[in-house]
Amino acid sequence: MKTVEMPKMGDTMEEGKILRWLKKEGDQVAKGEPLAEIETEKVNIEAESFSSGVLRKILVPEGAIAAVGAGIALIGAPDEPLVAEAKQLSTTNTDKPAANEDIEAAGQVIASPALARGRIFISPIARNLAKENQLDYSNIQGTGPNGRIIKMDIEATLAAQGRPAAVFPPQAAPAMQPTPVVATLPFIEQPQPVAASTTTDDITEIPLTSMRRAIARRLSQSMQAAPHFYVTSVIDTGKLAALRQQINEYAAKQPSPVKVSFNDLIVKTVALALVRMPQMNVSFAEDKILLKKQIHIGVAVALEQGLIVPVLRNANQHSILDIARETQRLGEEARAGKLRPEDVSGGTFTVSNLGMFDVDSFTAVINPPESAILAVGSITPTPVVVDGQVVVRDRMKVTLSSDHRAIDGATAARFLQEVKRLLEEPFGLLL
Amino acid sequence: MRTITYRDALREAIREEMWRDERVFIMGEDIAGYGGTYAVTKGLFEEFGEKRVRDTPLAEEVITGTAIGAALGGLRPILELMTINFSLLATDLIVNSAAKFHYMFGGQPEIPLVIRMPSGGGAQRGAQHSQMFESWYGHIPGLKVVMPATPYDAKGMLKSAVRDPNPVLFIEHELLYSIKGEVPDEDVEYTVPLHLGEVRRLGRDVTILTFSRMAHISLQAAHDLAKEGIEAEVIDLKSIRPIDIDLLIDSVKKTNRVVIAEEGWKYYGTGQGLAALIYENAFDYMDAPIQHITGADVPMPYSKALERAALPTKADIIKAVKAIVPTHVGV
Amino acid sequence: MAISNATLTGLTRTQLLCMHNMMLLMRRFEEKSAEEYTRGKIGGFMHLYIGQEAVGVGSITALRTSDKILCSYREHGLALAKGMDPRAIMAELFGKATGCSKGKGGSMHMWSNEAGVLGGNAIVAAQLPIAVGVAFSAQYLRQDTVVACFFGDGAVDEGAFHEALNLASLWKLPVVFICENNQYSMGMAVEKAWAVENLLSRAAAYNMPGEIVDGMDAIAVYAATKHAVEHARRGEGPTLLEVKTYRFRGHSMADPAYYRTREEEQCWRSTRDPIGIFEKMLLEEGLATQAEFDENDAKATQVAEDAAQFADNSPDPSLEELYTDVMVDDSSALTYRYERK
Repeated sequence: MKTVEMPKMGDTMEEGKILRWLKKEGDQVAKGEPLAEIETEKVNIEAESFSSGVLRKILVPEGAIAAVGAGIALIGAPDEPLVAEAKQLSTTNTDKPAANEDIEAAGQVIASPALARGRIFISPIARNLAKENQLDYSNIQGTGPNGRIIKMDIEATLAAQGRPAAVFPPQAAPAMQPTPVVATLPFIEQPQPVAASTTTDDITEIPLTSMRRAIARRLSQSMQAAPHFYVTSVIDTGKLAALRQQINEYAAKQPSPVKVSFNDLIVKTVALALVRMPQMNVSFAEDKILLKKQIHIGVAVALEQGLIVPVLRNANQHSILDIARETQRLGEEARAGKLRPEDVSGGTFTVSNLGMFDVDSFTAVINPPESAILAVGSITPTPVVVDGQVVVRDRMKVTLSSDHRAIDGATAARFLQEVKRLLEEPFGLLL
Repeated sequence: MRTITYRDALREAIREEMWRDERVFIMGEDIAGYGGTYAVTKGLFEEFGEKRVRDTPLAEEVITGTAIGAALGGLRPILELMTINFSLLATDLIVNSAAKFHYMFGGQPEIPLVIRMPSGGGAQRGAQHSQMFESWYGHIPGLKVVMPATPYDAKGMLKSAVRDPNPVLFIEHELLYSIKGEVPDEDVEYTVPLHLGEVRRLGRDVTILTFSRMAHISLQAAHDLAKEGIEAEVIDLKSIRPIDIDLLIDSVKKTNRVVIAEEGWKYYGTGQGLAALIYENAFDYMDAPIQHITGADVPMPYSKALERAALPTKADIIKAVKAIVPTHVGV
Repeated sequence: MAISNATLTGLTRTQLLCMHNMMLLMRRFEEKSAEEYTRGKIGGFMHLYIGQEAVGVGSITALRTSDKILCSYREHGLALAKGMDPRAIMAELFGKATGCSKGKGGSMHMWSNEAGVLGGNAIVAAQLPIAVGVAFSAQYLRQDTVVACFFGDGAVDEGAFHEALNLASLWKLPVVFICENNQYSMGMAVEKAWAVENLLSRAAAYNMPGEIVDGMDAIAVYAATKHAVEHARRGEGPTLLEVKTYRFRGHSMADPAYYRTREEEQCWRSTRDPIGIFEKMLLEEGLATQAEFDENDAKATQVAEDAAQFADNSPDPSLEELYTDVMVDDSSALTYRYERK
């Protein structure tokens, strides 16, 4: 018994519709004789028989659609037993003679790997990726077990054709960096339909977006798994403000002018402090502590939908102006929802600044797998005693949250001391 | 941070919770005078006295019922069952009462109960003393079932379990009691949530889903695989019920490949349940069929040679990973 | 006829009339339940208390409101006696949102924190170990609460019975074990199931006082329970009471009771009806009048009717309730999101 399959009549064809059967069940069919008229996306075409014999069974009736490669008919000797018939016999005994359903069911049986000769084995994600990129995979040699076409084969084919693989599906998490110590923040929100809010008497139920879910999971896990402790310091920002003013006067005259914020200076400060105290640039990994060689500073950005933390890579190696430019770009792209996976992954330390909201001071939740986060309050004119006189000076409170599993109190305190020193004598930032 | 054993971590959790809350007490067979079959409760009787550290007769049904009743009466019992194998004598109380009351009585009673029990094989204890039953209990709505793998989690999760308003089955592994790991200093108060799993190792090529002792074996396997360029992500489920589905689905979407490694039997168990969840929710992301590593489908034999053959090993996991991760990955 | 101010076993006339009223309420409530069951308003298993009223009323009269009871699945009557609202019980039988267990429990699962009713348990003898634990909590917290644990003669055959009695005695816990020996565990006659003639030897085996009580005599049940409760409240430990009684109906609504003769049933009903016995005694002692009995009966009938009407008019539980109350916290929400997608 031979199975006639829905033929592929073009490289993008995925399914075809049987317009008309040119033979009926019981007819003699010769190899090469037209069997059925098939409608594809582009053309109507006659499908020929690839074997001779009797058309024993039509599996897909006129007007029905079948996927490429699915069985549409059976051709064999007049007395050969029908595999699909056995199934039909068993179902005809039931009370409901749903003829169409039976035929469809039989068609599915034929489409199964056991019966469909020449079936291509391909993994679900590879098939989806091929479909997404409109790639005909029928000629790809699978390299997976049993010759299965796997994701990598599709990617290789696309690469060979000079086509970058379209991301499938849009929600897929970004591919990992080979180094296993860097976590990927799953904070990338793709536009997706959000279920409607439902309102009862007193409560409006707002379904969680995936960003909100990610925040909830990560931060509650952080708060519960990482024993947080906090050290606070008050910083005199007089010199920092003066320096900033000078830098901005200079930067305004540059070919690509940029405005440096206090936060940019703090990011630079923290990066330099981490160079001096690498024991703060760590992750707790249960049976060990991972010391990270590179310094990637996350900068928390508040969005309408939630919080996102774009990452400034190798912040210690960049000039203040570069940091300002990169921060500006990341902020804009975050607001536009255009951040790429690499923009939000791999941070080793985070700075969260609520100064613009007139917040005196606050404590922040560590962003795992990082081990510390610096919470920055606003700069406030504060009466202080200098040489026995009460004068008004600008002060800023910063609070460092640290994971006690990886960092001890004295270490955190020394780090904060270093941050304070750099901010109060900020010319060091330029050197 | 200190390095202490899993056993000591458990004892610290019990001690701290007993100091914190007068209603917390511990009862069980040979936990007071004897100090606990696995020495978890050693010294507690001397510290807290007979009222709060109670030896019981060898009567699992009534001591489980008593713990349930005590919880209904406003206490916070920690019941130690000498092994999970004996819990079968108390299964009726656990499944038909502890798991049911809150729902069956319309949310009125609460049963803040912890039942601690050692499980697992590997110490030549024979067929009746080497079993994994988390799949059975994990099947039951109304229970929480957790299986911490590290001293850090053992302490933090036991403290959470004591404070939890639900019946929590806290399943330990007999071969984990003596392992050591970092735990915060005694003056650092911390708890670990009961319902979240954890990524023990990040990876790109395959997700190994595991828990309890197999989490350690899986990490060792991942370590060896890394030398060959295969980066395995290791997820320690920590909780069997509820299961942290988000965590594992997210990981599967990233790696497209899954190996499930558990010590228990293959059929109708936790691993097969997880496989169904993954196929249901992440089929389109799969690049290979799920591989499932389990203990052999036999009653545990006594002979050292046979027992070793019955338990899943690092080599089994590596083999399963290699069966689905292309050899040219990472090259 | 003059009304006496005398007391029976320390019970005043008012208390006695109260007991009478409660026995009638149990009877009328159960009759109403049976009627509603046949009309399809009540489903599942339903086990009636008719015939055993003196046990529930006599024993619970000896308890304080703050004392707790734990019961088997034949617990409507006990729940009424302990002070639960008949409407909430009937609505539970109807599976309605207004039921004491929000319609999630049914006939075998009554609960009230306020009344101290800690459940009907549908696993034979499971309530005994739990009662031991509730009594333990009272001892631990130095409360003078006493726990009364009701179970049938079938429960005595379970291992849990023996384990529970041993531990309660060992730890001297304030619990009274009340075996309602109604002669049959489902269809199994008690003499075919017990290796002993009565429970005195069982009590002795676990080193606790035991007593055999006429379960058709509410005053006798009261006196025996009161004694046991005082013993427990003094911290002297548990007591085992074997209260001999008889259920006038089958084991459940579906039981035609082929295992016993109609003559046997008729004999108990006509000569040993606990309500009849109680009324006769009150009349003989000059403590009450037939008119008062009739008034109580009318009241009880009215309450049962009202309960049924309330239950019938109550709404079904909202479908949202399907997934609530599984856990005390919302820890299952994560998984349910996948289940209910």
